[in-house]
Amino acid sequence: MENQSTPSSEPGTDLDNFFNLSFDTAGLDTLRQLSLWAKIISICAFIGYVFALAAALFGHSKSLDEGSSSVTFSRTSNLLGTFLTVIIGGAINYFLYRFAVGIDRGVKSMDALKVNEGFNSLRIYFKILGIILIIVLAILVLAILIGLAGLAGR
Amino acid sequence: MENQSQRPLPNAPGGAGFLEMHLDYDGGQTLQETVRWSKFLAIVGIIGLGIYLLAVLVGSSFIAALVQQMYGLEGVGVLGLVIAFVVIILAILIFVVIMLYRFSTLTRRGIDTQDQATFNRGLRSLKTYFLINGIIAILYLLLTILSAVAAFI
Repeated sequence: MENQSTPSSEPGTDLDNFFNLSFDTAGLDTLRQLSLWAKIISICAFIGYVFALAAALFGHSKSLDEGSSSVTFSRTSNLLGTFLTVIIGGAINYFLYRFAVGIDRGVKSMDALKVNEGFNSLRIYFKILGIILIIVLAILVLAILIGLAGLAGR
Repeated sequence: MENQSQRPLPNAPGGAGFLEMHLDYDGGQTLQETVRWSKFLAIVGIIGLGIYLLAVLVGSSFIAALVQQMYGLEGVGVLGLVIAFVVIILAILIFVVIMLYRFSTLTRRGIDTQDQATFNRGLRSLKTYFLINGIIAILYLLLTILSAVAAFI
C-alpha cells in the first residue's frame, strides 16, 4: 500500500528532477554579475526619470515668447511625453529591479525559490517589452497603410 | 513517507547540491517563457536594426552627394564622421540584440537537452547583454543629467 504512488506522480522526485540543470559555481557567479548589472540599469533609469521629470516640470523654456499658444502646446506635449515615458519606463524597470533583487537574495541565501521569483520578474520584464514592441509595430504598420491609402487616393 | 523525509534537499547542508542550486520545474517553466519573449524581442530587434543600418548605408551616399554640392569636400568629411558614429552605435546595438538571441537559443537548447554547459553559455550571454546595456544606461544617465542641468541654466 505504501508503494502505491508511482515515482512519476510522487511530488518532489521526478518533478524536481525534470530539470537536471543547476546553477553551479560558474552559474552562480554569472547570476551575481547579472544581478549587479540589472540593478545598475534599473537604478540609472530611475535617476534619469527623476531628472527628466524635473527638467520637464521646472526647466526654462528657450523661447522668448513665453505666453504664446504654440509654446504652451509644446510645453504641455513635452510634459505629457515625459510623464508617459516615466510611467511605462518605471513599470518596466521596476520588474528589472525586482529581478536583480530576487537573484541577488537567492544567490546569497542559496534559495532556489527566490531565484525563481527573480526569473519570474525577468519574464514579466521581457513580456512588457514584447507587448510594447507589438503595439509600436502595429502603429507603424497602420501608419504605413494610411500613408499608402493617402498616396493611392491622390 | 520515510524516504521522502530522508531525501536530502538540494540546498541542504551535506546534500549533493550544497554549493549549487538546482533548477526546478517551476523555474524551468518560467525560464522557458522568458526565453520565448526574449527570442521575439531579439528577432524583431535584429530585423529592425538591420533595416535601419541598410537605410543609413544606402541613404548616406545620396546625402553625401547632396552635401558635396552644397558645402564641398569639407561637408562630406563631417558627414562621413557622423555616419561612421551612427554605424558604430548601430553595430553595438546589433551586437547587444545578438547576445539576447544567443541567450534565448542557448538557454532553450540547454533546457531541452539538459546540457549544463550550454545552459551556462546562455546565462553568460544574458550577462553580456545586461553589461552592455548597463554601460549604455550609465552614459544615457550622464546625458540626461547634462540636458536637465542645461534646461535649468
